[in-house]
Amino acid sequence: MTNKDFINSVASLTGMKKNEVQRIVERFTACLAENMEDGDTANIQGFGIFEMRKKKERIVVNPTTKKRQLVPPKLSISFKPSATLKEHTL
Amino acid sequence: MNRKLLLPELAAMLSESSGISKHRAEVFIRSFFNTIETGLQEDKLVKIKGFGTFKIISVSSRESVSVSTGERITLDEHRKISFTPDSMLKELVNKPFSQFQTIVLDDDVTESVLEEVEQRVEKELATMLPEVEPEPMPEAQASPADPKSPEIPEPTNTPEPSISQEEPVPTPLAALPTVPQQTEEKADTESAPTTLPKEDSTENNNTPDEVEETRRSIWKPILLILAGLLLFALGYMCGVKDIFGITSCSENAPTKNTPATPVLPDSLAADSLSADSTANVADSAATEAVTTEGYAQSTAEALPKHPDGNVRVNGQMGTHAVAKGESIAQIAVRYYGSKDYARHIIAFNELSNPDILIIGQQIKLPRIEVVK
Repeated sequence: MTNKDFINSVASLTGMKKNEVQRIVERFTACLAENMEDGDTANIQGFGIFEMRKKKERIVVNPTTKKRQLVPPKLSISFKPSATLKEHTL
Repeated sequence: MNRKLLLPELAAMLSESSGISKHRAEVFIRSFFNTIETGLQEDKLVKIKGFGTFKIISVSSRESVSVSTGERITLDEHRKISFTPDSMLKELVNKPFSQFQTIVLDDDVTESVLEEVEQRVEKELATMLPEVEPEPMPEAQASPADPKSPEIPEPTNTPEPSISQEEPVPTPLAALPTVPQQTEEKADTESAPTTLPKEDSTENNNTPDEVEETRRSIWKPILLILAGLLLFALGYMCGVKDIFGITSCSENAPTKNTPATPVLPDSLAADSLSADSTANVADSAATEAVTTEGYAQSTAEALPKHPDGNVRVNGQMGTHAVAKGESIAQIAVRYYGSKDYARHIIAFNELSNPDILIIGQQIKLPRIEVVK
């Protein structure tokens, strides 16, 4: 399902226009990210949990240049599907 | 690390930031995730621009070890749902750490130094998360001050732009030279200058508090141990008195300030004079109220050794006021001729703790008859 199909589907379900849907999707992303910043986890009933995870620093070797690089620590978002979702889709 | 955010709250936030009504925001979010579910069911892949990609991935079977039993287990082929965030979402989530860049390392840098940095990062994250946007670190920190630290090249500015970047940005490694310095100085561990873009001033503010706290926390267990030892010594002293005379312990009850050592010589003196009752009488404020009956008992009947089960208690023959440094054993000897009769006195008086006697305490003296 491409982005286009997705937007179309959401638009038809909500009754909003397509460009509005796209805009709201971006706003929703921002809201989610904001909550992650505070350390909260977003729990969507029947779908899953979005959590924030800290990734530690790593030493990597760039295969092309063969140089050792230090990747800094970062925060990333992780997703844990709920049981109902797994039932429905897997 | 706080709470779980539920749909209504998310909807409220969305409606606030987007301008649509709360009800419509809720409908939107529900449709959003329902569509993802439908998309996964149909196509096994859903790509949402700005958010991320949901995919169903097949995992082939593999051999592994069971965590509980330790025996070999085969994990069957199965499918799982994966989510990879879009670059926009990634950047938004990583905002607190956005000023870091990857740098090229020299061969000198070892894993151990990185571990130190890691620990500081962990501690810092715990305090840092609820904070607002931090300021970027000054590049001055990049210059190595510690001669022991390995030489690290200046951070290379990669062409990849960052959201909140205005000046050339140092990396966590740039502050590494200060790390070994700090561990030596035992400076505060909570503010990690390596990864957090806080100014030096904040670090200085934390240091005196941190050091003070550690000092205080060192003293607490020492004080506790000392207090424990003192109590133990007191208790032991009380126990030792039992041999000589328990009233020293009982003395402690009314006069709490009396230290252990001066009481000991008193009880020793009492012991040496226990045979001579008059000295005790002179010492204690409460004079003995010994009835003539009591003396008559000991002289007339003379029960030296306890004939084990062949005695009978037949009422009370008198009372005795406990003198300073006296024990039930001594009382038994005086009135019955043997320490073995102490148990009868204890039972007759229903003394829960025969070792603790108060000076002047009235001890009932049972009349004991030998049964032949």
